[in-house]
Amino acid sequence: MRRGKASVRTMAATAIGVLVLAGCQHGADDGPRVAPPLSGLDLQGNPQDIAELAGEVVVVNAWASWCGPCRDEMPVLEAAQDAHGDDGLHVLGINTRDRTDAAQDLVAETGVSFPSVVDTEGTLAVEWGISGMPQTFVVDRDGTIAAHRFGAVDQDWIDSVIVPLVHGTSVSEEEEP
Amino acid sequence: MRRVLAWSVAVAIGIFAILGLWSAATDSGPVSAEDTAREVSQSLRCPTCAGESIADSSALLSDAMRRTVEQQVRQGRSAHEIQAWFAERYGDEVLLAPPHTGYGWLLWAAPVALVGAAVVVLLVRGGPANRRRWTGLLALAATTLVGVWLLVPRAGAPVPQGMQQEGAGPVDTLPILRDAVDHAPGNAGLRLAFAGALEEAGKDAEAVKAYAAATRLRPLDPDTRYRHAFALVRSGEPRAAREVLEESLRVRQDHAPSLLLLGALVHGEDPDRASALLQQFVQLAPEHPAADQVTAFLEGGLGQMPAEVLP
Repeated sequence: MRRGKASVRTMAATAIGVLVLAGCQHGADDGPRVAPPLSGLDLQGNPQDIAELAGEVVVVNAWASWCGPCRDEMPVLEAAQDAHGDDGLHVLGINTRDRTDAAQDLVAETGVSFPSVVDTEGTLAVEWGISGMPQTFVVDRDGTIAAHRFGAVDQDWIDSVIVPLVHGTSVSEEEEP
Repeated sequence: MRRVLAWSVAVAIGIFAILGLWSAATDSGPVSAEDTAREVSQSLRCPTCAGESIADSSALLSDAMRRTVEQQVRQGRSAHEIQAWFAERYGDEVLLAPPHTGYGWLLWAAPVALVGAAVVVLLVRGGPANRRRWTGLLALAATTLVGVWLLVPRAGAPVPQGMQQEGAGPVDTLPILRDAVDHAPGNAGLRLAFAGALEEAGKDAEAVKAYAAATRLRPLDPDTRYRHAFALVRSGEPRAAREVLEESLRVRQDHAPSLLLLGALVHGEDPDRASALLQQFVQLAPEHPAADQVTAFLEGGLGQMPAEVLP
């Protein structure tokens, strides 16, 4: 009887050990994700490729003309690029599942100058793991995703996340959707 | 004890033989790229749906994910590689079956480990009668579990290179549906199927016309009206979509998808009305996949509309 109790205790301890080890392994797999490729024609038909911006901080913003919050955040992104472009900040949009004419109208209306790669089928958005819009990723100078924003960006986020990255202070922010 | 062991071994051999025969019978040789893409799509969860695979979901995100799966299959990636690719982007939650890594291993190994543990406990604590009765049953259960466990990873087999060019691309159902609609113009169900196929093919303007026709046939059906409105938004006609939805809500005030879409559409111009509509939506459909995000949106903590709200 005593032997039986000891076996149960041993098995329980083993189970806990396996759980802990599995947890450690899971944690070891996590880490900064290398930014996926992003290339294609923009809304004006010019080729764009994030690879050409290697070594810079790139804000990748997924948007569509039918998305209200996307409309609201475009001037914020444009202002960030204006303010920090000389220090190596670039904004590159992904115009997802949109009509090109409607997207061009929105660009004209908001006056943004950053290019957006056209993603008619939505596969570029899938490549970046996007499940809703707007979503914004920040790719650091090493080419890894340093921050991921679900929802519209605002000036506070630009100041707390983008500015330190541009000026060399490391930051890591992965939000939950 | 020896007799029990002999029976256990015999039962185990029998089960493996049956599993082997079943496996051989269901294995039709090298599969096409289309079959593999379908199989992988069935293993991936639609991130914006409630428990649907991307193969079965009509969400636009699922459509894009299916296209990505097809591209990767054509590039020669194995099912496991594609699943890992999606898990890296959308988390392990995107896998309908638990992964063979991290905590996922526990889900696969736990049943076998539990059976093993039960055997040990029985041998240590059970009386002779219990041992005889349960050992055979446990051997049977363990063998079945191991057999299933061994068979499941078959989905990860790489796509045979020689077959990748065959059967690529979905069957073009548009001409078939167009003919069917021409022969039965009063069939609203056919009109809806045709409209859906047009949407899938990216023919938004034509899809709107087909949905409009279906709406005329089913003027009081809020689901048909909702799909019509959805197509109107996609084709750049949000005002027309709003009119369709306003009419829908006059017919049926508690149609949650219409409340959600109309709330999203009027958000820019009339935030108060949008809030009222979205709150009503959350109250009516708290289990809806978008409900949490809409709640966060209403509370101002999330400036993001869920993907399925708008096309």
